[in-house]
Amino acid sequence: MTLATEKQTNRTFVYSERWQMFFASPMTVAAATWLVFVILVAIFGPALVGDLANKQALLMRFAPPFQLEKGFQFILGADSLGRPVLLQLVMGAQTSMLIAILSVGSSSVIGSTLGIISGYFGGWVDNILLRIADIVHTIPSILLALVVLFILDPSITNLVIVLGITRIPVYLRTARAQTAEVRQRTFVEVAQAMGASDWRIMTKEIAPVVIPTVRTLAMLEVASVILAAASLTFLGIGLQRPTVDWGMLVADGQAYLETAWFVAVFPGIVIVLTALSASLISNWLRAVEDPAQNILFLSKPKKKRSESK
Amino acid sequence: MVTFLRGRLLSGAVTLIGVVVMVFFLARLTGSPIDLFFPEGGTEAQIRAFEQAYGLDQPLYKQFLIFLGNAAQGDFGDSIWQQRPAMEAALSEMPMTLALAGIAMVVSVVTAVILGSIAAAYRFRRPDRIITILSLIAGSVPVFWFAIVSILIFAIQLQWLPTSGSYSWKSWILPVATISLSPIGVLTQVVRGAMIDVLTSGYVRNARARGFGSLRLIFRHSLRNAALPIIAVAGDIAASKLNGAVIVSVVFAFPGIGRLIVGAIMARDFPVLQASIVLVGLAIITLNLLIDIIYMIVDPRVRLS
Repeated sequence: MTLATEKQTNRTFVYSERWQMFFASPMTVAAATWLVFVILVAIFGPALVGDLANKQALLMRFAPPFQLEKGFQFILGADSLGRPVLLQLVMGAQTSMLIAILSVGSSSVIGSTLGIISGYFGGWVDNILLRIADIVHTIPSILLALVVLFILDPSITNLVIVLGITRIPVYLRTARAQTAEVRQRTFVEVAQAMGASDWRIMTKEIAPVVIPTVRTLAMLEVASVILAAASLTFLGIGLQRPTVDWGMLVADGQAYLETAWFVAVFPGIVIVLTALSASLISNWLRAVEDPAQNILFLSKPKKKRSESK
Repeated sequence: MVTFLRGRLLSGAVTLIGVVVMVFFLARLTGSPIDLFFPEGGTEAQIRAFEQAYGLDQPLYKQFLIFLGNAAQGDFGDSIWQQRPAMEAALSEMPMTLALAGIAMVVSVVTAVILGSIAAAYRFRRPDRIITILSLIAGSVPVFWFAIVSILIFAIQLQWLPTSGSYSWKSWILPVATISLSPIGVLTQVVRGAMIDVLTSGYVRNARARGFGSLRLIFRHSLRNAALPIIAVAGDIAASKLNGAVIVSVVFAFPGIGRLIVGAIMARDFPVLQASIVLVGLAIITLNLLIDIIYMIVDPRVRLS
C-alpha cells in the first residue's frame, strides 16, 4: 500500500514538472495553442460552415483579401470560382489533419511493434524486416506514393495507407535499435530469469522504454506527413474534389499566381504554421525527456522550486 | 575492413534486387498501357501485335522471369512511347538530376555547417535561438509552396529570374534553392547538436584554456569530430533530394529523372518507369556505400569493429 502511494505522488510530481517546463517555453505554448485550434476547426469547422464553403459565386471571383465589406468569409479573398479562401481552408483542415493523424497513428503503432519484435527476437525475423525497411526506404517516398496511388483510387483511406507504409521504416529502425540495446540490460534479464513470457517482457519491460522515443518521433513525423500529403495532393494525385486538403488549394492557386497570389499563398502559410508547431512540440518533448537538457527549462526560476530534487 | 565492405556490398545488392522485384509488380498494377496507346480502341490485330512487341501476352510469372533475366544484363526493354531503350532514356536524364542534387547538396551542407557552428558557438543565446527557429521554419515549408512563392516574388514581381526551363545559370537558382531549403533546416539542427557535444567536451575546454582562439577551435579541432553525425544524416538527406527533384521538375519544368518518372507513370510506360526507379535505387545504394566508406575513413572505430 505504501508503495502504491509513493508511486502516486511520484507521478503527480513528474506531471507538475512537465507543466512547468511547458509554460517556461512560450514557443511551445504558442505551437500547442495553434495545433489545438486547428484540430478544433478540423472537427467542428466543416459542420458549422456547411455549404457556404463550396458555394460558387462568379461575381466574387478573385475577390481581394483583407476587405470586410463582402462579408467576413471573404477576409482571405476568393478563388477562381468565387469560393471564399478562408472557408476552403476550414474544409481543408479536416482532410489534412485526418490524414496526418491517421497515418502517423497507424505507422507509429505498426512500425514500433515490428521494431520491438525485430529487436527482441533478432535472427532471421530481424534480418527480413530490416531488409524490407531498407527497400522501402531506398525508393524516394514521393515516387513510391506516386506509383501506388496511381493503382488505387483517389481517397483519404488510400492516401493514409500509402503515407503509412512509406513512414513505417522510420519507426521500425528507431524502435529496433532501442529494443536491441534495452534487451541486454539487467532488468530484462531478471524478467527472463523469473520466467516472464516474451509477450510480457515486450509489453511490460521494453515498450515503456521505447514509447517516449516513439512519441517524440511521431510528433516530428506529424510535420513531415503533413508536408508529404500536401506534396502528393499538390501533384494532383491522392484526392479529388469535393474532398479538399491544403495541398490541393495551393495547386488550385498556382495557375492564377499572376492575377490572384493569395489563393496559393494562404494555404501554404497554414501548412507552414501547422508543420512548424508539430516540430516545435517535438523539439520540446525531446528536450524534456533528456535530463541533461530539461534543467534549462527549470533553471529560470519564475517560482522558486524546493531543493528536494 | 574488407569483411565490413563485403557485407555492405552484399546487403546493397540484396536491396537492389528487392527494388527491382518491387518495381516490376508495382508497375504492372498501374493498369494496362493498351488503353492509353489505343484510345479509340484499336483492332484485335493491332492490340495483339502491340502485346507481342512488348511481351504483354505472356503470363505474369513469365514476364517477370524475362524481365529479371534482361535486367541482370542491364536491358529494361524499349520505351513504349519514346523509340529507344528504356535504360537509355533514364540514363540521358540522369546527369541533369545528379548535377542538381549535387549542387543542392553542397549548398545545403556548407550553409548548414556555417549556421550550425554559429548556433553552437552562441548556444542558448540570441543568435542560437534565431538560427534554431529559422531552421525549424525551413524544415516546415512545403517544397512545392516555396517553389511557387519564389516564382511569385523573383520571377513575376521582380522579374530577376526565369519562371521555368534550364537555359542559363539563372534558371538553376530557384530549383537549387527549393531543393536545399528543408535539408538546410534539418542539417543545421544536426550540426548544432553535434558541435555542442564537441564544444562542451573536455579536450576543447583544455584547448581553450591553453588559449586557442574560437575560430580555430571550431574549424580545426571541433568540426572534424562533429563530422560523424553530419555524414550519417547527409545520406538520408541526399536521398530525399530526389523527392524534391520530382516537385522541381513539375513546378519549374526542370528536366531530369523526376520529370521522366512522372511522365512515365502518366503514360504507363513500364520499361521507362522500371529503368528509372532501378537507376534511382542504384544511385542511392551507391551513395550509402560511399557514405559508409567515408565513415570508415573518418572514424577508425568503425574500421576495427
